[in-house]
Amino acid sequence: MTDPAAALRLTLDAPRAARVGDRVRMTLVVHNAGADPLTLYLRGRPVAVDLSVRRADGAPVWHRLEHAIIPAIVQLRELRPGERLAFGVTWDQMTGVGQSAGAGEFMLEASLLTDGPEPLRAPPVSLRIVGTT
Amino acid sequence: MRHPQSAAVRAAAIAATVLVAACQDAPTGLPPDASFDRGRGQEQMAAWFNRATPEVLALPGAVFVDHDEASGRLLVGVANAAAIRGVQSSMTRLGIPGTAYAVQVTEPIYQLATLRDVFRPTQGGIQIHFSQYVCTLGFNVTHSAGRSFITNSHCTARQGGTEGTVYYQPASNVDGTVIATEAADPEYFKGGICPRGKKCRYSDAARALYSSNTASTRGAIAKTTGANNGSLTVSGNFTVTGQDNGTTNFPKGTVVNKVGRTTGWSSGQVTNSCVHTSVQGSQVVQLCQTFVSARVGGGDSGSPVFRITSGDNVTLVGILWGGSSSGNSFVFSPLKQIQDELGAMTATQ
Repeated sequence: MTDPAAALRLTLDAPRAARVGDRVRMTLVVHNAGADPLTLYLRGRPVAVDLSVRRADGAPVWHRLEHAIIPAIVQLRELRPGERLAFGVTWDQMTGVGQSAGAGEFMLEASLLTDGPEPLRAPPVSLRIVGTT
Repeated sequence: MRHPQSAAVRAAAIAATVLVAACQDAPTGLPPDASFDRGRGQEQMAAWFNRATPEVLALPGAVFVDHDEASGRLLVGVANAAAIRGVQSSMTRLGIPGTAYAVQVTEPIYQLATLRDVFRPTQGGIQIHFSQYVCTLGFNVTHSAGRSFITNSHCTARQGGTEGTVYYQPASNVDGTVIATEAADPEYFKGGICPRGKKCRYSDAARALYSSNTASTRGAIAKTTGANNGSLTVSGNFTVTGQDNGTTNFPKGTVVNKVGRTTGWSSGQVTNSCVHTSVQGSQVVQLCQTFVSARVGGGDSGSPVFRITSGDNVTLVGILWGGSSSGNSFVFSPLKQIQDELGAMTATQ
């Protein structure tokens, strides 16, 4: 029996570069690339989308849901073959302690919380922030 | 990712495992039958097995029928000695000689239910479903408006306001019976203590009135196999023998428990009390909530929160509604505040 999760594709659509101080708008896309429908068990109401931002050396910069209290409800979302769901997420270039992240190379990783111990994660993408603060 | 019926499929698999094990002829203590003719005996035994199975398994107390190849006899398991005579009568009537079978008293085989299976009567801690959402049934109560259960306000069609949400247990595609209908869910208020731009309540709780044909047990919370082991297998019950109608400020370090359909039975210490808590993704602020260092997951919303007083006896203290993204900390509304908003209720057995 094949794992239905293998048919699920998550991608984070994000700009490759942004100017210092710009709001960075991204979209987390969930795609059922398989031939059978899938039912996703997604936590939150609305669905909780997480985003972590790290510097190129791995140092954490910002974690969207780090201190958030999220309703422990699960939403069942059926995804037909070929169907996509899109979730918008924004980073205002601030760090977790409220400072500007400044220029540099960053790694962005988005995920969706589920009813399981591990979230559904999209592969990390890189972002270059250019300019001066 | 699972099909919503996965709970039912999982339960069937467990039952099948038990039955297969009974047919694998592990040592039973039966001596081989010296008079057994292995030549045509196997054929004869298979025929007797097929003849005996439907009638014997229909008898009260019958647990299993096994064609025990090792001993060359049929082996019939019964739950108690009183059932032996009925087996013997059936075997005689079917023309199966006494030398061809043995009867032994054995442990009854129970299908292992999980928190996501069908429960009638209903009890606290089990899965409920409405619209496209899954939550946990908090606890059954007697209320002046009728026999009800309590779950979260956000486990209704709209958080705050009564829209008549209908509930299924465990899910509509497993059992299409409407078990209850939302009957009370006060509106969130603005102004006063509530921060500007927000809407507030002191509990994330709503009451659903049971359908007349749905049985419920007041004072029962499903108990899984152990605290903090992640198990969803129900092994018994907690009994609500008390309810804390007065505490809003739980001392740090107080140990409380919850049972929910996603992470099962969790136990941990209160870390913060009477915290005004902003809810992620909304304008909602829940006032004076309690934080606990214990596991939570999506679907645990509505879990009953309680203190264990002795053995399986517990005192109900509140209802879980949320937690951290890491799943290591949950938040609950104290029972006092639930009753302040929904009215007095009796949750004890």
